[in-house]
Amino acid sequence: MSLQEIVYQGDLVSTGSPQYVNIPAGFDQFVLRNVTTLAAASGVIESRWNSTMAAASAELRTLGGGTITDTIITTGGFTYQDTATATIGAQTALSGTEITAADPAVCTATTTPLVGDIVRIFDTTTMLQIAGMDFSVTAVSAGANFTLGYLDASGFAGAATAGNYRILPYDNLTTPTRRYITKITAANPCVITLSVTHGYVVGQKVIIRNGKDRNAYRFGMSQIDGLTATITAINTTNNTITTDIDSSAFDAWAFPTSAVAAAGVTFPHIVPAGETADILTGAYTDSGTRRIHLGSSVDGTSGDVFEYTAIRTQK
Amino acid sequence: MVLNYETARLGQSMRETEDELMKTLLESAASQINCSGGVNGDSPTEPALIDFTGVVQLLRGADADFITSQIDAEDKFGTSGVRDAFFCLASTDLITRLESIKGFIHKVQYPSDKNTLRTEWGSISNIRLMLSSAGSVTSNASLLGEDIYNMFIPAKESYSSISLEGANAEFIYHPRGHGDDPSAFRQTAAWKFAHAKAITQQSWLTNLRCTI
Repeated sequence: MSLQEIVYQGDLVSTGSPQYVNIPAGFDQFVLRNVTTLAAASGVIESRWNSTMAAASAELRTLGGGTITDTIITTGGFTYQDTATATIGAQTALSGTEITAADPAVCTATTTPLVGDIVRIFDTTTMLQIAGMDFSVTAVSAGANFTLGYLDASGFAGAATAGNYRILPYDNLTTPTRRYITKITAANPCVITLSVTHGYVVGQKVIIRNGKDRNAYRFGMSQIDGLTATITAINTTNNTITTDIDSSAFDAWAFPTSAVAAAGVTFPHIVPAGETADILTGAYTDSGTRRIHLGSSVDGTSGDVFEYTAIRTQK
Repeated sequence: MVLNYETARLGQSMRETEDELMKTLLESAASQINCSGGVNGDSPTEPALIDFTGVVQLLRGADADFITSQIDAEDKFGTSGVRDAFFCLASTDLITRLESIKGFIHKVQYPSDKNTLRTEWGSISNIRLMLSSAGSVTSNASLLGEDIYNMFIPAKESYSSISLEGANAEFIYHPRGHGDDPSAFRQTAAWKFAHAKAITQQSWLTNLRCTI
């Protein structure tokens, strides 16, 4: 039986934080060579993964004092992911204060996600107005807490007294995508905060859904329901979009109480509705892919230059 | 004979892939409404008649056009007329729940099966239900952490698969010895296509979400 190898190569620069490398065609082996440490003759110069290895594992080749040492790690290494088959993470309980009624809200947990992860919060006793909503994690104190940076919960009656979360393996598979709203200003121009890193660009149009539940506008600001807005500016720090809507005369927007949410609400959200542009930078795009996650033990130091090789073997 | 069999399988694979890609668009970008007419204590609740009629009211209020015309009642025992209707694309996991909704008409009770689809299960209000085992499910997304079933209810011309010039669906076959195959060992059977997909009118499409 003969084998064919298909080889994909590329390069990247370390951000000092874990990141993904997308290789849609799929692969069985992955080699990451740190050109910077190789030139310095010190540090992890190469890390390897193959499809038989467990998630977060890696073979490390370290150079120091003229000696090469090979080791195998089981945490902080490589994790292969196929968005077609990846499943949602395990249920993890919050603890202690659970979720603070603060801006931004902070979740207490002994098992914490990573910065950039999207978490699904649910079963949040006394804070049911966010139960079932997805959030981007913006800060983490490993083993202690993580921050939902785009949720201002300071107007909530109190902290959550119980709750759980799961980590989503990937974002929605088509972009631009629907996003849940966590704040709308009554101002000119109207600024909308979204719960997950929104990915929208200036010029895109969105429809704002802020409808009735059981014959009442549970989140207020009835006037904005169904309006189409053009995005005039974005803020990636606060995860907001600035629109061409003047909402200064609208009713205030606010989360309902936990008791109202318990009876059932539909989270306000925005959906894509077009683009005012000659070149469609905001057209629908499939974002399904195969990729590998570079964990904290292989992602290098910020500025390190990497070369990678991905190999797919066909029989 | 083997090639004929594989061709049929490839054709099915291609269409299922097309459906899967369209499903991800609707999951990612359609407006959503949570069912609230049920009594299971979760949010969204299980589906109820009021949830379906609410969507019909919403779509018709936006001048959305029905996809199918009514099926007139006939003097056949055990049958019932079927209204002008939108489609509902949902999971077979909901069969038991949907059949218990007041006003549900099973396809076998239609006066005529002309113009019905094989995947059609029945109708509720002005909505005809197309159920599939590949129906959309969002994991652990309800208030209580249960799975949410996405029931996509489109009106006519609410979303589209756009064929790209020069990239229409194509079946490819290369016999042994084609290309770099000096031993005449390999043959290839494959399909390929490229398309773009888009929601063409957000107001004519709703994702009605429920739990069981």
